[in-house]
Formats: sequence, structure tokens, C-alpha cells
Amino acid sequence: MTLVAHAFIVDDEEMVRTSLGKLLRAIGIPSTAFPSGEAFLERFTGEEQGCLIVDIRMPGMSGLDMLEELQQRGSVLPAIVMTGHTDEGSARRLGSLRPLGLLEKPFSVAQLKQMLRRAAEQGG
Amino acid sequence: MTTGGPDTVSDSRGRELRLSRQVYRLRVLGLLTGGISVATVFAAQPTGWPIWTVLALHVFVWPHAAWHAARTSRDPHRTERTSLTVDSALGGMWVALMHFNLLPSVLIVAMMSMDKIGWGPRFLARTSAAMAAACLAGMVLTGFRVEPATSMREIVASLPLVVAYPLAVAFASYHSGRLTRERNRQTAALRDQLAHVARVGTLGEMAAGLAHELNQPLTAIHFEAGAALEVDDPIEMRRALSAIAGHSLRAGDIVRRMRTFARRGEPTRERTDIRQLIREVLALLAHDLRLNGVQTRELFDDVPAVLVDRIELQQVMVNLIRNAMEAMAATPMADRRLSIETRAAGRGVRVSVSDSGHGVDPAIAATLFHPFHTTKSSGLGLGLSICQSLIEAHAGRIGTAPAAERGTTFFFELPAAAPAGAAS
Repeated sequence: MTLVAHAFIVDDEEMVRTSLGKLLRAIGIPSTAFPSGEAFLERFTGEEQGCLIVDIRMPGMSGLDMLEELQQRGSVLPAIVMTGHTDEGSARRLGSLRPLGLLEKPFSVAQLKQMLRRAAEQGG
Repeated sequence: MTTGGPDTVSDSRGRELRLSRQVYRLRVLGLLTGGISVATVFAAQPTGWPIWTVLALHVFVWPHAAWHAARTSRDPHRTERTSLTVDSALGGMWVALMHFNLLPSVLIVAMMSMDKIGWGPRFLARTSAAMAAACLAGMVLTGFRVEPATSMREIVASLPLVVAYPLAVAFASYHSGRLTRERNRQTAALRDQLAHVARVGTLGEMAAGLAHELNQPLTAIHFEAGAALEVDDPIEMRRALSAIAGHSLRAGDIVRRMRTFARRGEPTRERTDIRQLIREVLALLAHDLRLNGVQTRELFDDVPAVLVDRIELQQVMVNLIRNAMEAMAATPMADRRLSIETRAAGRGVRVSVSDSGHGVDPAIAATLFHPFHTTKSSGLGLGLSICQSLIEAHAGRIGTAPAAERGTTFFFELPAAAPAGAAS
């Protein structure tokens, strides 16, 4: 099973960041966690390898804002989007961002693994 | 009744009594005002302009009657004198009641209607004693120049009247007190129902945020479980399991808070540390606050405990905090500050909720607590008016002031509970 080289977790919820990091480590993927979109963009160089796992709903910059910013900067980092629920507006924006996949919280480990495999196939 | 012209009246045995026109008129006026005053109390309107009008009339009528009776007491007609003395005694009683008793008794009725004091033997004894003292004072003040032989009879003759009136007042005040208590009870029941409906409505508006909040521990539990299933190291596994235990407790807490908030029950009064209650409410609103980027400051002074219905007080806090958040919707995220302050105020506690939002338009400040007054696109405009009635039901008061820098401060004050262990 080929999985991504590294995962970048962006979520404002500390317990989700921690537990997701733990799960990724358990399935053999190193990860870095960021509490906000701003924090990730600050460290973003464009040379990252791997896959983004980003929450949509965050205070300040939302996950969508961050992905749009990354698209403008020409990033090709595949992104898995986590969400509580998707309204129409964000669904439309998501469509144009073409993320790798959408995971509705709470989602199963199998779904996550499947997404990560797809990310790896895309060259993550 | 009048036989020989306006200056004479007949007594029960058909004898004509000469009365001066003035005294006759005064007596009629006195009876009329007395009747109106009893009727007023009966109509459960112990305060307001009717009673004050009646009292004002008495002030003028009865001293005049007493004075006149005193002046005409040298009249040879004994019966006439007797009736005038009764008048003067009653008049004096009225005057004395006015000064010593009637005003307090009106206040007592008003207080009873507010359920401040109960209707019991102590109240009865106190009122009766006051009434008796007033009658005595009236007789001493105005029942003078009466020959001793007549005097006793006169006093005895006047007793039924003297006793009947206070009894009527006492009964009327009891009756009106009961009516008022019943009305208060109905009002309270309606208030509780309305508050419950509003609470459920608020919870509905908070549902999305609460669902999201609940989703966090559930997601984390799922991840931890996934991790536990993947690892072989027993220590790692234990770590994941203990994290699961913690997250599930947190999820349970969220559900408990929601359920408590929506619960409907008889309002109770519990000794409560208001700071603890505020922290619960902040936990309930944690997600909304975080998502809106609101920085929350807790400035909690040591405050005495208060005797409150926790759910109703939570409702007030939720309302004030949500209003504060909405007031800051247009404020740049970095400037959204909410500060909640508790401090001792007088013999109670003052809680202030300040935001850094757009502030309250002075034009609407006066109508802020009126029902159905709203500046929002959604909602009925009942929030603050319900807050006001809930706080007032706790013998407190609620108000607003401009915040220190910008925005608005809403505050409420509640009386401190009796010290723990003391009989309440």
C-alpha cells in the first residue's frame, strides 16, 4: 500500500489535530499540524511534498480561503477537505478548487486511507 | 329620610334631629368617600390614583366634621350630639388612620400583592392592634366635651362602626392580596412558558454550532480508535484509549449542557456561584465564540453566592453573550473582544457583559428591553425583554451602559443569597 510521504493537518480543533496526527503516525505517515490557515501559509514554501488535510470551518481564514490562496500561489499540493456540513455556497467554491476529496466529519479511517491512497497516486 | 328641610334628619325612632347643613353634607360626603375607599380596596386596586383621591378627600372632610362636632357639642339635643360624636370619633379615627395606619396598611396590601409578606396571624394581630390604637387615638383626639354618662354609651354605640371598618379593610386587603397573588402566579407561569419557548428557539439557532462542537470529540474518538487498532505497542494503545475516554466525556458534557438548557421544569432556586454558571454558558457557546474569533476575557471578582434558577440565569447569559457576538459581526476579527465581569455590588452581585461592537443607537436605547423590538433580521425581539422579566423575577435589575472603549455593556444585578446554613 502506497501512501503519501507527509500530511499537513490544518484544523483549529486541538483534539482533532492531535488525534489525526496520532492516527496518521499509526498508519505510517508523518504529519505536521497547523492551528489555522494563516499559520500554514506563513510556513508554506511551495516545495512541500505530500498531502493537505484541511478543515473548512475555522475562525479567521476558512479552509476554502486557504485553498484559494494556495491555488493562486500555484500550489499543486493535493488536498483532502474535512467538513462538518457543506452549504451551497461552499460547495460551489469547492467545485472550482477541485480538492482530492471531501470527508464529512466524523469519517471512517477506511475513507481517510482511501483518500490518502488517491493522493499518493496523484504524486503526493 | 329628610323631613323638615335640609337642616333636619329623622333618627330611627322618627325624632327629628337638627343638623347644620354643613355637617349633614360632610357626613354624606364622608360616607361616600368611605364607601369608595372600601370599594377601591375590594377592586384589588390598592394603589394608584383612586386611593390617593379618597385619602385626600378624607384629609379635608373628617377634620372638618370633628371640628364641627366639637363646636356643636353644647347643643341641648343629646341624640344629635351622640351621632355627631360618633361622627367625630369616626372622623378622628380616619384622621389617625390616615396618619398612623391607613397609609401603612395600603403599603401592606401592596407588599402582600408582591408576595413580600404573608397573610398570617402576625399580620392580622399587627393590623388589628394598629387599628385599635388608631380608634383610641381618634376618640381621645376628637371625642372630647362629652359628658361621662353619655360618653360610655357613645363609645359603645360607635364600636360596631369602629370595628366594622377596619375589619372590612382587613378583609378587603386580604382578598385583594389573594387576587394579586393569584394573578402573579399566572403571570409567573406564563413567563416560565415563554422563557422555555424562547430557550428552545435559541437552542435551535445554536444547533449548527453545537452539532459542530459535538462532532469534534466524535471525530477525535474515531481517529484515536483507528490509531489504537493500527498500533501494536500496548503503551500507544493505552494512550489512545485514555484519550477516547476523555473525548467521550467531553461529548457527554456537551449533550448534558444542551439538555439542561432545553429542560422544562418548575423553576427552582439554588445557591449558585454565578462564575461557575457563566463558565458553563461559555462552554455552551465555545464553538460560536471561537468561530467568530471572539477573544473572551473573564474578570471574575470574588462574589457572594446568589439564589437563582440556574437554567433561567443561563438563558439570560446566553442571550447577552449572543447579542454581544452579533453586535460584533461587522467588527474586524482582531478587535472582537468580549469581557465578562463579576463583582460585588451593594448587597448583591453585578455581572457585566461588554462587547467591542457597534454599540447601541441612542435612539433605540430606551426601547431596548421592550418586547417585539428588534434591529435584527431574524428573531422576534423577545430576547432582552425575557431577560428583563427573568432577572426581575429574581428581584434583580438589568440595564445597559456604553462600554469603556467602544461597544456596549449589558449588566444585571442580583441580591446575594443568605449565608450558607442560615435559615432562609
